[in-house]
Amino acid sequence: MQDQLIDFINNELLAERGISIGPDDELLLSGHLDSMAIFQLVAFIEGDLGLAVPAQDITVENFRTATVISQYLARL
Amino acid sequence: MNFGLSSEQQQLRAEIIAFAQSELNNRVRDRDHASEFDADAWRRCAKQGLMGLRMPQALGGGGKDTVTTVIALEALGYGCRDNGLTLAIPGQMWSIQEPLLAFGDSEQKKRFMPGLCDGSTPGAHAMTEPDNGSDAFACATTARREGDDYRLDGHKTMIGLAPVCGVALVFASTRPEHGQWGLSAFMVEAGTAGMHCQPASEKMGLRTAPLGDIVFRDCLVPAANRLGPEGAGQAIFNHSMDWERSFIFACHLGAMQAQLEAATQYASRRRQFGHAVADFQSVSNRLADMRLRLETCRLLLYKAAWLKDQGQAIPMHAALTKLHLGESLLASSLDAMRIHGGRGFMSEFEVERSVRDNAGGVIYSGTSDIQRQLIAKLLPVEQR
Repeated sequence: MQDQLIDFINNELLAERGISIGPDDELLLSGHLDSMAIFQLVAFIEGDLGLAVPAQDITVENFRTATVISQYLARL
Repeated sequence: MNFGLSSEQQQLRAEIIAFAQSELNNRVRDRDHASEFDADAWRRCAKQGLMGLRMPQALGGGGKDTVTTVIALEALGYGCRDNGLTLAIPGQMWSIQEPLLAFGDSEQKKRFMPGLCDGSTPGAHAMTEPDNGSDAFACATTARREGDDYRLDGHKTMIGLAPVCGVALVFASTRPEHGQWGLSAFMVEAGTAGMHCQPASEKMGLRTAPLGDIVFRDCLVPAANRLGPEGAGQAIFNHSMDWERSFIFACHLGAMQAQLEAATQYASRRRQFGHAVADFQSVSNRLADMRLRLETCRLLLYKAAWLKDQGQAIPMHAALTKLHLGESLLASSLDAMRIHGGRGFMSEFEVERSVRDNAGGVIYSGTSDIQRQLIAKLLPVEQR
């Protein structure tokens, strides 16, 4: 799941900016992903990974890095 | 696919139109000139059950689905000529009650929802600040944790219902170092020490809808009033915008219908050069454009309501709806003014007021430019 997340973030959200992230790179506090990118990421998680993300869970604690996101998704 | 209304929905629509036409159109033109909110009309709408339509009955609401709620609001807008009132009511419904329902704990819902539904504690949605607007998350208001409280400091501006609010949903940064991800949301009751509500200066339109500033200086708010977890402010704001952008114009759709009917009647009655002006193609083209806008607006709005009843977040559809209805309202209001000619320019006929009132629709709840940006950014997601 973590690899799928990283592929999506790098290929769909960051490719145009020439940025590539690894599993433990800051996504939100670094400014790599803004609120629109999070919309896109959540749509990917719900559509492609089949996991429903409650709106109140979209916080820095759960979406800080790809590793943190996959740990959060594993708890759903 | 069924575009028809059930008999229950038809009855609700008829009841609300009759209620609005008989109870809500008191001194609209005078109150517009005086920038006066009709607090009695607000209470009458609450008593009619309008504010609580979609809220659970156990919390003082009507337990209706979203489609039925939109039908009711469209009826309200058809019968009520006070465009400020018909903006303020859905403003509270979508941007306060919905996030409270989605993010509030059971205690918070029991404390705040009944007063929102019965009209006794009007709710204000406090995000905008002097230095943020479209960049909504650049929020300078802070909420520092101090024991069982948060200390709020900051300035919110151009907040709907602020001068008359009983409670405000306030967005503030609990972790400024986290930027937009450090925002949290609080239900703050009017009268809390350190919370100061002030009316705004005069505005171009929607003068019957109270607008104002809320200033927080050392305002202690119990931690029990925080909506959702710390840092959920962005998610709560996005959630409320999903509702607000989809349905803030539900009443206006009814007003568009009434506007079209009035313009059609006037164009048929008014004679120039020996003909009804409706016979002139320049006029009939405008009527046709108004009719087409009404139809496309209705389709977008009701599809949004149907999608919401399926339990979906609809950021793309919300942006499409906000953009199209906001632009259509203004375009049709300008067409109505032109069809009415000189009378359209005079305050007496209340056509010019619709232009002033509806000009704001391309700005508030996210400008048309922002909606286009959102739509373009969401396209790749939709097309995956």
